[in-house]
Amino acid sequence: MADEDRDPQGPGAEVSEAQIAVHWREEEYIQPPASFIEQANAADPAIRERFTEDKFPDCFKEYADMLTWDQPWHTTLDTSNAPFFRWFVGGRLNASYNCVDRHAAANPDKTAIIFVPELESEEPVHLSYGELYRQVNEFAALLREFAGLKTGDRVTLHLPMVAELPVTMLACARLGVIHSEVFGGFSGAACGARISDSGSRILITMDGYYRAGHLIDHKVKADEALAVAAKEGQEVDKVLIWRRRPGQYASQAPMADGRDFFIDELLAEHRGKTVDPVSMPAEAPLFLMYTSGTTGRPKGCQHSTGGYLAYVAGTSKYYQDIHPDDVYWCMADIGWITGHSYIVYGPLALGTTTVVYEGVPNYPDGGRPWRVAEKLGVGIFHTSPTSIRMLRKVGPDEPAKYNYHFKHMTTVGEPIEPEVWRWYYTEVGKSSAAIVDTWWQTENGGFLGSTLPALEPMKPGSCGPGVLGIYPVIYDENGDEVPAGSGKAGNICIRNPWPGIFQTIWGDPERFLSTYFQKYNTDPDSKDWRDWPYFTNDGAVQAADGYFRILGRVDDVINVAGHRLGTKEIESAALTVPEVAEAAAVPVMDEIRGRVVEIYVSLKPGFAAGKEIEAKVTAAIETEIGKIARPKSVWIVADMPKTRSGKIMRRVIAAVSNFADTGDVTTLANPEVVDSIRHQVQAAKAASGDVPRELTEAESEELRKFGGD
Amino acid sequence: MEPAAAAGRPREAGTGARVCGVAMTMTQQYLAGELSVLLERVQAVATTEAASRDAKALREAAETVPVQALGWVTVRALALTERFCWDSLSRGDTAAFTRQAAAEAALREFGICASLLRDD
Repeated sequence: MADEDRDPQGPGAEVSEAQIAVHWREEEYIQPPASFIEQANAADPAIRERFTEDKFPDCFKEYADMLTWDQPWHTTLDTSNAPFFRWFVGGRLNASYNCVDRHAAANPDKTAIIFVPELESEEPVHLSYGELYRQVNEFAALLREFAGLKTGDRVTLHLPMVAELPVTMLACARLGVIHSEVFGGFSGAACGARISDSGSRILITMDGYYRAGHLIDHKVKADEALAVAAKEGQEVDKVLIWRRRPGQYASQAPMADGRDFFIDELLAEHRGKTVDPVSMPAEAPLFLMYTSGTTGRPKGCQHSTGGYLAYVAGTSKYYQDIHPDDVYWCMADIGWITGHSYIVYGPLALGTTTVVYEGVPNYPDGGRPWRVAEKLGVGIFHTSPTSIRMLRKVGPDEPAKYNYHFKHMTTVGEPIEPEVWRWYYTEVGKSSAAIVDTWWQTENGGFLGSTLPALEPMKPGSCGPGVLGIYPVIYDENGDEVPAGSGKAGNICIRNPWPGIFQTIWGDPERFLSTYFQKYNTDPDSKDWRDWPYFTNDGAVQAADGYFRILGRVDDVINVAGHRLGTKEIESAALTVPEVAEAAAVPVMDEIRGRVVEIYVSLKPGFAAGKEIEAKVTAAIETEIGKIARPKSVWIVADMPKTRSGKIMRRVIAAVSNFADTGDVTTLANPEVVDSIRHQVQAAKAASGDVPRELTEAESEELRKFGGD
Repeated sequence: MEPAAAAGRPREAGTGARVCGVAMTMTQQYLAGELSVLLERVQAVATTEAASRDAKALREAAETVPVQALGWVTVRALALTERFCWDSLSRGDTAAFTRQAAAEAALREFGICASLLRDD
């Protein structure tokens, strides 16, 4: 396929259905089996009526009523500080109580968690709700009495997929302590950055775990994490270490005296203790989940207690079709939002049995997941297209060898190709399971787009319509709605707030506002939720039947000789040069090619500017994207002009490169940088005779709008 | 294997690997995590300090760059492991070569299954 056919779907990109069909033709509907419909939680079509826009926001009472509240809320949705929306205001509850206590009281012997070790020689461990209650209480007592944690503190977890991870999360929630789990496979440095950003003074980790047949030394990462955090000014007082096998230390890393402690030893002091769950306001933060941003600094998405828990309980019930007597297996990692919402909080809030699998799905072979499903009687299976492709590749015929039955299956994370979808449906699901394809993001807490499995037919490659109470819309760059069935792509937004949406970016509310809400807001003072569409940063097209196809990340575009180059693509290529800390690509007017690219980079500490780095950046862009994207200039600058929230002001940089008016820069966090860059760049350009002609009004307007600032 | 719907520009790289498209934002953070784990393995099979540093830098990139840049990180990682393999072969170090080739294979397999690379 020629380059010009591969439009990056940038803002304003008009991608026709025909163009999309080059990759993906419209698929047929597949109806769910009657046996599924008969038992589904959401089998009555009237459910859709209960969530129509005229019932918003009170429709979400149905989700909140799935929880046990200490005190009822008086205001369902408070928009007085839009878009910092508050849900179920006045209500009080505890997430740990809702996921543990109430089920332990009713069914203490019912299995809550099945931990499946990677080694098949080790038997699965069944943790009943009664046992979970005991473990959560004892660990909560330890956290309060030994670690000194109290309501509102943040604590960083760097734990692999073991049962101790949900125990730790629920113990934190019991105390109103905000947990921040870092994916166990991430480096110590990544963990350290998150410790620092969240201001955690306690790290909870593990000595080791199994992955792909190897016992991984995990504790060694804690030392690196603490060093990175300390460098950023955050000291950690204590490191609490779960041991994969209590009494045996699986790491080579030395224990730091007075800092590092084995949890199994400490727990001896807390046996039998109970801790009353702290009654938390509905809008109190429950956890932080970090997601990579565009600045190289991860964003700590802050999720609430009441709204989040209600939303994941409701979507787990209606979209995952979880019943209390199900055995449910989501093969994601709890280190990501999918695991938080659909391994821990959603399933446990509904009192079901959730599976926690330690290792990789294709170890020791591609039949492992199906053996687990057979052995445990898994009825609901949830995984990503990447895992499905992997399992299909290593063992296309494996599912048929095992006697399991899935009534329901989920895919999440990215669009799935129809032929892969069909393998999932016919081979894994044995043509008898309902499949839901889901679309959502870390920031969203739970699903945004999907089909109600008993009521809306499956369509391979499409996630479906907006879920209950979610009213998506596709806008073009001018804020005009792109109608369903028009065949045009645009920016998919959600017109309304919902209970599961994150509350803010931890410590950076301006970035929350500018990244997700400013784009389509026309009145910054408005208290009306209708004026604050949520900008997802994904492109999509909506078919006439209302189903959405998600196309990918939207991106600013620089049009070079007819080639539409995504700025993020160019910047991402530059960021792969190890010395580069930040990058910003901007357009420069060019008489021959219309626009050319200039790229600004700042370097990591310890590196000095020089021709060698400039050449590396150019080479990276040429290699990764092509010669068409070769930057006209690489400017290595000491710093980038930024908003107080850390967003690079590409508009200002573009103005400098084009000798245009930079506009008002007084509100920047570092306005002095603008003069410094202007002097550096314009002096060099003037010296080489590279001064552009005066811009037309249209060109000036284009630069003013560049970067969405 | 066909690329995902939003296929972007496939790019020739030194290893013959091609970047496939623009990754979705969605809930794809896990791809960064899996890539980080595989790069830890690449770092472990490096036989010199400089090679280890290069692998570490790529791992840091995987953990910090936007999701849509992961394809390029994967391509660079493949080029790096291929370099490791050639170095080991030139020294006649078959044990190191075997470990490095396995790491590269795992990386390539993941890249293709995650639609970060094209399978052609």
